[in-house]
Amino acid sequence: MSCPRCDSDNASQKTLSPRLERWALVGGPNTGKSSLINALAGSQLSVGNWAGTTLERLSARLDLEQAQVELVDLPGTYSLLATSPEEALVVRELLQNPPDLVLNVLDAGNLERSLVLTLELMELGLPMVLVVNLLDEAEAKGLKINLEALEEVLGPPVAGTVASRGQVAEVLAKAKEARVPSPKVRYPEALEKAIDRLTPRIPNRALALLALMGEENLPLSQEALKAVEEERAHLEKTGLDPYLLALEARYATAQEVYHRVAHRIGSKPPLTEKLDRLVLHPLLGLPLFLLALFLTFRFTFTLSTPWVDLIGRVQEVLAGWVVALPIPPLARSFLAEGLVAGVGTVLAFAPLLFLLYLALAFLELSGFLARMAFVADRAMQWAGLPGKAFVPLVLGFGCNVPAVYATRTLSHPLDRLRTALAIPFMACGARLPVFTLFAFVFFPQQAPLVVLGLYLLGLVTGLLTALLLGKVLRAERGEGTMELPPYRFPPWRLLLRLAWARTQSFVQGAGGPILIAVLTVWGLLHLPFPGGSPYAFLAQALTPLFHPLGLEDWRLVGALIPGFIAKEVVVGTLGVSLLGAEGLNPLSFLAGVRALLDSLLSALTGTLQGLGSLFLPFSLNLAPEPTPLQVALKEAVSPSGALAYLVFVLLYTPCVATVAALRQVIGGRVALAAVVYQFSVAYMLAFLARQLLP
Amino acid sequence: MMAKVLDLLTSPKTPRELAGALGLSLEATLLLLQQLERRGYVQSLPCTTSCGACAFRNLCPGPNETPWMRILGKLTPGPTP
Repeated sequence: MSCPRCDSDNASQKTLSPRLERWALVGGPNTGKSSLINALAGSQLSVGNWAGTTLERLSARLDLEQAQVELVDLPGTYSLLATSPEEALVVRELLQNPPDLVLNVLDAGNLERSLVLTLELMELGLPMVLVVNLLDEAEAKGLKINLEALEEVLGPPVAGTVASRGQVAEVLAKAKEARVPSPKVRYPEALEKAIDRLTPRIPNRALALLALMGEENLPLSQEALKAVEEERAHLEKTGLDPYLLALEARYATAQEVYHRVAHRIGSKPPLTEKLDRLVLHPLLGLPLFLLALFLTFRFTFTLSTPWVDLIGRVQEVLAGWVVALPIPPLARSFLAEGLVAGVGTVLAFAPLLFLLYLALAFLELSGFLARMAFVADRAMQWAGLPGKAFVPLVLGFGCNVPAVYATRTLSHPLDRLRTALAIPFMACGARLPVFTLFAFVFFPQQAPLVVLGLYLLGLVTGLLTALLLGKVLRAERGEGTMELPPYRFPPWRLLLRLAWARTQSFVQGAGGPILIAVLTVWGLLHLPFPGGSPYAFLAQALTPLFHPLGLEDWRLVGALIPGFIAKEVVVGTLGVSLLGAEGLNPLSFLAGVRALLDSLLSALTGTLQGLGSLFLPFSLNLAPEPTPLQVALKEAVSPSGALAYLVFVLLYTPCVATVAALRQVIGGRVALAAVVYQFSVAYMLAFLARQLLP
Repeated sequence: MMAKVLDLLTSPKTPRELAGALGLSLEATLLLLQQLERRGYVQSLPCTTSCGACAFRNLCPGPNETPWMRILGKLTPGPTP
């Protein structure tokens, strides 16, 4: 490793060799590190507009002429003085596994704060390039950053970027000029002398400073630790606190550099402040937040309905063609009732999920999701959770699995536990097909309200769980500091890419369990068994347990069984067990093609009508033309039983993938207890829901 | 700067007020406060401690409006060279 104390004039010039290199991206939370990697390497790392999008070490490969580069995306950190496990990961990676190059990503709009970390990184003795990202936001704030002056003042090469729009070309050119910078901060003499005396045992200046500032769990020998303790005691005896001395010098230097390189070019008040006055208003904030949730669902349902219908029609046509094939009856049944009617029914909801993910991605990337967390902070206070916990909870509406992992942004272990246990009550995208199917059949005029009500019920149940658990565990109120990112209008390409990737992940992730579960159910339905089929026997044996909920049809109860594997399977299983061969009619090739073209035309006109009706009053008839499955459902259960079924599906045991995530985050025993707890809560609330309707 | 920060925080100050007094940006001031808080030099004062039984106490603080205050009994910084 190069000498960390050398002058910039004598600094070693880093030349790229044709070997595999590792470049680490280090910067504050929400400065666009993942976007930068995606723009450089064309990868698909998760991006967001809230602090904590990246919680683990992720990487992507970049092929250059002279080298293959592993770009390592590290969690965001404001300083090497770690305050969470994720920040500690960054420090560990830099100290114990030093990269070939540090790409320090700075937020141009918050340059002064970003510079504090830059000054610390310059003490590591690693080749470094500064990437000043989000230049567009700085400009919108009326700030002009002089990149040449920044390079001149600090030393390392400086590249300016707008990563979210792909403007990153300068980074690779500057990487070729990367060099080990000389440290910029000059600490008070007493501290500098202490560092000098430690140099034989701790040659790395950054490590010596961290040790003197009292950081723990550093990779130091016993001998070095003893020397550090002696130096600290010596400083404190003279009334000097190394922690405060170091902070003093760093902030003063950051302030000085900032004033030399940043200039205000306009005095227009930032859009963020103007919007925040409205969005974060104590009284208007909550109604606006509920309106945003309502519009999200309205957008999703109104625009997806024509495409759901189209895919449903494609499924009917395919099944019709299969039924007309001259193949053995068992094979025909397998293809039409197993593959097409089962998996096809679930895939028909892909448009619904795509639009939901699109709306959630917009809320997330625009900065509105983080504001929702702030507005919800009061509700979170009621549940004894920090406002930050609201972000994982809202992400749970998309998918519970990443939401459970996102609880790792919470630094207090009890906050993490309580939020993780609340998340499975959030209605994930996989439960949406069940909600829409039942809501449109039994409550066609109020379908969006019923679905919104279910989402809110899940949220309230989750918060109550956190509250009760907090009382039992006597948890104290968690941390309240929350990062509010600036508003950004996300590029459409990015929104579409995110929504597509998440829908694709849903379809791919659901594919395995669906095939196994639906085909198993089909097999169980068609296997010879005394008095019916094994599936019917099992479902019928469980059905008395569900009589108090108004569920007397064993086929409805049976569909809950594979739902333990994945919630996506419930609708598919219902399709197979309720319709059977009766729902299918043979079709000629030409008749099928004609039906498909008609449906495509209907979907296109339906979308245009949907766009026009997005902001119209609520009286629109959103109910689609009843499908055979919807007709069969109406005969199988009463509206009160259907409501109980919806509540049960919302709240009962999470899917296998979520249980696996819970096991990783909070431990196997607690995850098992959570499964039993959720089943009990679901049963109790479904019973109560049944009493609401006659 | 640290002496000034700790001196200013002998009475409650919001991050915005402190940023104005130090000439730092609001974001840098928040980071500084968090770094001082993690070592127990300062603490934030949620409004519940000052508004008692006020029914609207949770509606009051906007972002960055929660006051902070110094915790007495820690070392004071030495003279700045």
